[in-house]
Amino acid sequence: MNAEVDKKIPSRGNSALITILILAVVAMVIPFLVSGYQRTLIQKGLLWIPATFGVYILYNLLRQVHFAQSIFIGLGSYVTAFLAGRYYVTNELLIVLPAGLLLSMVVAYVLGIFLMKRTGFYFAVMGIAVTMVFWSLIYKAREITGGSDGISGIKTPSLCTIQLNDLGLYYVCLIVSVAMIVLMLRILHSGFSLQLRAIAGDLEKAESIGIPVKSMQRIAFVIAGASAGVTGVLLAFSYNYVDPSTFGWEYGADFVQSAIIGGVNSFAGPIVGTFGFINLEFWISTWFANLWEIIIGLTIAIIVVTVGEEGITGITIALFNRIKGKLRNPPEST
Amino acid sequence: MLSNSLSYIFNALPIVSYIIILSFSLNFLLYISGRVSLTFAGIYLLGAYLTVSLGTLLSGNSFSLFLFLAILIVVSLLGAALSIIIYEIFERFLKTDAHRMIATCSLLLVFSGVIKLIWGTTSVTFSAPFLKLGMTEVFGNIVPNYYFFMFGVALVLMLALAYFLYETSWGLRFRATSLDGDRIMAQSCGVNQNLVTIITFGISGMLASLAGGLYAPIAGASYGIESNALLLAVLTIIIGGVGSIQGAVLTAFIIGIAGGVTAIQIPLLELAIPFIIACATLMLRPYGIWGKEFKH
Repeated sequence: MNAEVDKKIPSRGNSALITILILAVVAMVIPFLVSGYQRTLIQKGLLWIPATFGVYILYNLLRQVHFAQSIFIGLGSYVTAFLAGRYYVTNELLIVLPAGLLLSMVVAYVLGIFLMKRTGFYFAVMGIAVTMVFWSLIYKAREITGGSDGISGIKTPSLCTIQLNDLGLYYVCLIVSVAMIVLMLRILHSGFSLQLRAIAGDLEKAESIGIPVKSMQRIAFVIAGASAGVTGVLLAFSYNYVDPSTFGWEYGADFVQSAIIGGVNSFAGPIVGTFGFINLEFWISTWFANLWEIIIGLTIAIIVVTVGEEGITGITIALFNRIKGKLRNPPEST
Repeated sequence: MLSNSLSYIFNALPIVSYIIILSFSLNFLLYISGRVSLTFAGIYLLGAYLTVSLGTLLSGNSFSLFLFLAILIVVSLLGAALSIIIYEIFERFLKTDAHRMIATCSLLLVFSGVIKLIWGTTSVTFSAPFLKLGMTEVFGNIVPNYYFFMFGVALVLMLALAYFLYETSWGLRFRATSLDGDRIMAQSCGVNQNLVTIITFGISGMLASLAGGLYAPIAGASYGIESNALLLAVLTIIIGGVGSIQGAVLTAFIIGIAGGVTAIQIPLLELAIPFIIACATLMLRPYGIWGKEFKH
């Protein structure tokens, strides 16, 4: 691989943890301050964040672009749709969520064996190819999956047999999302992340010092898949509807775009990027609905050409450093 | 029995032909310039739509083979020009593979959006070449002559490119800067790297839009075809390997025939079969059946 990776030893991440807890408290009181529709958008953002973190982990630590998160979201969503909708078995969250998670992890492990045989461009485009294969399977198996009509009428979830209403589901999403973010924080500030950075920096050297390269890569892929699976389950419960477009590559590209907007060199990147992307999507689809693809495509392209992978957080940090530098060494007056 | 099995081959000819040309567009770009890009799928889409529009506009009900050839040539040149323009104003500045992938993927979305804006989401068709060229009977199968036309164009193009790459001095320069050669050494021997890259992007764009134009009379031009094309082109280079012309042709046959057989016998697995073949190839020959590990 021999990519340029961040060689700073990562900190313990305590300041990030405190910031996240503060934001979580804010998110807990927000439903009482905003309208129901805005709360739905915030809920969508909270659920997207773990999936975007999956993309972030693979880009920041391994320098691989992961277009295929949509597969695992689709798997989680369709497991929920089958268990709580079309072939009703249960709507108990404590059963459906682990089921979706388990399926995503198993599929991620199997796919990871093939997808990570080659890295870089081939990994990314095989990811796109897999999303299309899954999309076509779900689309064509009409009798089982409902095909292009999708599956609607998913029952609202219950937690330990307590039926959840909209607000209850919001808090469940918030708790799950914060838990996953804290988990990602721990992963990113651990020895595991250092090993992955070593693999991305120079694969032969990493192998020669004894890092089990293949296992590490597959574990990273499974982590990304698992986070997207959880997202999928909760998204299906939130919208009560799934359809095959969840498996499409355009949906997977949405997560890559969220990660790039936020920046993949800083921990706040996925959070900022996800909310930025969702807000952008909301505003543009309100005013210029049929120009959405052109606008978002050009935006991302221009962002990548100008600031590369730094994104919003990168620009902010760079600006911050510049101001700090100017304050520390004020320009001499002649 | 023979005519039945041969019918699979004849029915697969159009897909085989367009996969040969489209996958070689990506193959050529990767091999000679070493840059990754997904814009070829967008140019394919544009080529298909332009051919349909120009065809219906200029020929109406009557059909002339010369007019169709002229349209194809125009569309190819436009594709080459577009590819070069996108390289010069945009792709040139992308520094790492990851940046190129994300940016060109977004560019693909832009292509999709522009097409949707101009032509809408309903599909458009221009079947005149397919219908008006007549049919021939071969070994008990009735095959439209257009299939042979497509395959002929694909073969002629591949032979021309093979001759160019392996028998001419300019081809030698291209191969010197390719993944097989040593770019820095080539530059110090006087090969104009910039010119080679620009011509490579031009040829890649030309092949992509030609593939779109050739396949348009059969499949029409509709909103999602670039994803399908991208999928098949990518799987072809993963199975066949980068840099080999015979690999591109033979892999296109594998994918085309496997897809054709599956489409009739088990329609559910139509896209899954090329993917399964690709997974099998990755396990046995990670660099493709005819590919090799480049010291890149």
